[in-house]
Amino acid sequence: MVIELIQDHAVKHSIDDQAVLRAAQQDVRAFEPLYDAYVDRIYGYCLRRVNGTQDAEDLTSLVFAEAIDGLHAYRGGSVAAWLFKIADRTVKKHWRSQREALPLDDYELTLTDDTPTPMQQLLALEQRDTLNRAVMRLSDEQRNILALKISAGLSSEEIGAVIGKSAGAVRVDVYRALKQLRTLYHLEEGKS
Amino acid sequence: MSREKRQARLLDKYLDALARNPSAPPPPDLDPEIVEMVTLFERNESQRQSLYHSDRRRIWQQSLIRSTRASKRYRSDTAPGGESEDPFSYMRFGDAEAGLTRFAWPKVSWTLLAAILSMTLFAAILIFAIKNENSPEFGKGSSEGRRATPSVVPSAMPLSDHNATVLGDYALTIPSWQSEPQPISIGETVEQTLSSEQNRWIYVLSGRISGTVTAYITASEPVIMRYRTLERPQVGGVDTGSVGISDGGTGGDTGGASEFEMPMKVHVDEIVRLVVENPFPVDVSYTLTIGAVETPTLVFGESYTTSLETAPVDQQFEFEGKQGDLVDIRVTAAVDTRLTLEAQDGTLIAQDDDSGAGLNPEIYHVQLPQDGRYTIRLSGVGFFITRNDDQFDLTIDVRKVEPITIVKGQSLDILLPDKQPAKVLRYEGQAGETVTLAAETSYVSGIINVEIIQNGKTLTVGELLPRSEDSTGFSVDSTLPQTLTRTFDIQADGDVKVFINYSPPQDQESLDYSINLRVTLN
Repeated sequence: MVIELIQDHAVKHSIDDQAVLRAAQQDVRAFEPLYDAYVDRIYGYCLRRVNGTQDAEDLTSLVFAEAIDGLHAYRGGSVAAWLFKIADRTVKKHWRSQREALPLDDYELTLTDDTPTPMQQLLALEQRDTLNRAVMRLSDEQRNILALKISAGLSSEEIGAVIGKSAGAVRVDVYRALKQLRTLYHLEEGKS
Repeated sequence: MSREKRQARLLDKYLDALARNPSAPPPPDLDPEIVEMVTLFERNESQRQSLYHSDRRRIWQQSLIRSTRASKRYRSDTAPGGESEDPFSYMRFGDAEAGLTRFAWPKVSWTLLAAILSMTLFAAILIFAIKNENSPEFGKGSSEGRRATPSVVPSAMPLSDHNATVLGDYALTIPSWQSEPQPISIGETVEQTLSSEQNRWIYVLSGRISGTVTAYITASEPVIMRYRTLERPQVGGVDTGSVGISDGGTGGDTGGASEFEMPMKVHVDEIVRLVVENPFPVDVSYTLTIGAVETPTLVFGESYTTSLETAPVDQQFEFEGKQGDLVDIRVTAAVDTRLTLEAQDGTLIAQDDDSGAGLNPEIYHVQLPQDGRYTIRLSGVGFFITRNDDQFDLTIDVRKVEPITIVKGQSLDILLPDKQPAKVLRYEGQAGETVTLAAETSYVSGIINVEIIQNGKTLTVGELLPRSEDSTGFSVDSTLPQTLTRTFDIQADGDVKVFINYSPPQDQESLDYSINLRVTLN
């Protein structure tokens, strides 16, 4: 529990996002602490919405480039919502430029050092593969809302600001998306 | 409220709790299948979201390059998914700011300027050398010394090969008799023979190494070792600039065995190309061993200070710990650093960025899971802060925390400030007894979590719940002060540890707070 708390502390933003952003409006170099605070979440969000780490890294850099360019347009409010709105727009733009369906079987599967035995690695990979196939069968809106909620860790209020819905509607959408994902996951499990 | 809305609300609270605390318990009324799906999704995300420090640096550089504020020249709307043509895509992180300026100038001007400067310098050196060659002073002192100690470089080998400026290219060039660099790892010993024709052999040392590694060599004749670091994972692609060369002080004398060592400084994001050369027209056989990473060992209660010449920071420390030890780790440095604690098997135990004073990291009250050696890694974060080229001190403290003893029937007042929102209590338990932990507080926001551990086994874990809580788990007693309770059974006689920590609501995470708790065991 204490360890978890420490990890919680590590992800906690000890910086004042809005103050940093206001400083960055005057001098772009002041933006970097925000990059440090958000890069993992933006990358996680992009990774969940596009195909493969290369695209996710590329999009992440575009998101921050857009953010730097759009600093003057920030008028207050949640910095997370502002950044993820840019991320959402960037991903959609990416899809429009691709104009093709994402292949389901190209999801990047990487053996990680965290799983101790080959059998566990194999099981983890299979489970991950099944989940990724199920996620790809969700609608774009559902994938987006799960990416914002779980991959990016935004609050429902922040997601509401990103996609233009009330926090209550977001909560129900997240619940429905997970229910749908559960159904699709079991279907994919049956296939494999 | 419909069942769907209630479930959606429970799920929302659970996901928010998970965002703060990766293993927060689910609300009891939340659909278990949804919980299972969340767990699966979360686990998948945590495995997907790891970015190496070098990745973070590279992405940041790309962002700066693509930003129109930095340069319109390299902006590309078609870049996603495609090949990047940015010529500075692997620019060092610390150069990014300089890059902003660099982009503002026409590229040709720099090229011309560099060419003119090089030619001027070359001409100046040439004139100086010719003048000195004819000078009556030439030959006194330095030249005599130079001639008295023959070079280890045979005349057949161009001198330029041994110049530091081309050392990297030489180390990167794989000779025709070697299809690829031979992999070598920490602790490994290899044997090899070199002839006058096949006069060098290249090794590649990989693995997540951080610190100084020493290459030891024993050879039948004098040999030379060189190394060069390269940024992972672009093997052979990116030069990170760290170089070294050693001939073991043989001074170029032939006809005798040589034995020497060469320390190599390696950052965690780098691999090493190591070259062993035979400089003489004789056969030489050698044994090469790569020593363990030299890591300072920290002692509980003693501060360790090291002086670092340049940022970014990339340091590693170790300490011996025992299962159940509660440890605080504090870092003080003039630059922004990130701290991770790993067990001997590489398992991540805890990590932190900015919980300490200023931008310093701090790990507070971490419990060690097993006996053994633990590794602390410190890495620099952010070049704007770490662009300091001056020397600076870095101090690291590892302290063992003694739990506060609490006696059944007595109350204890504890304070949970925002920077250190955890406390550990100790209680002498008796087998078979049922104990209620009660905490009285005037602060009702957020969650107070407890974990009760005896002999390494968790007896209970979860939130302290209000007495008046209803079946939904979200009714809050508005009467202050509020008493929160948790009941658990003691299974054996002996020491029981009670971990208490406080998680603020998400919208209050950045606020300063201090929670007063009056804890009682009954």
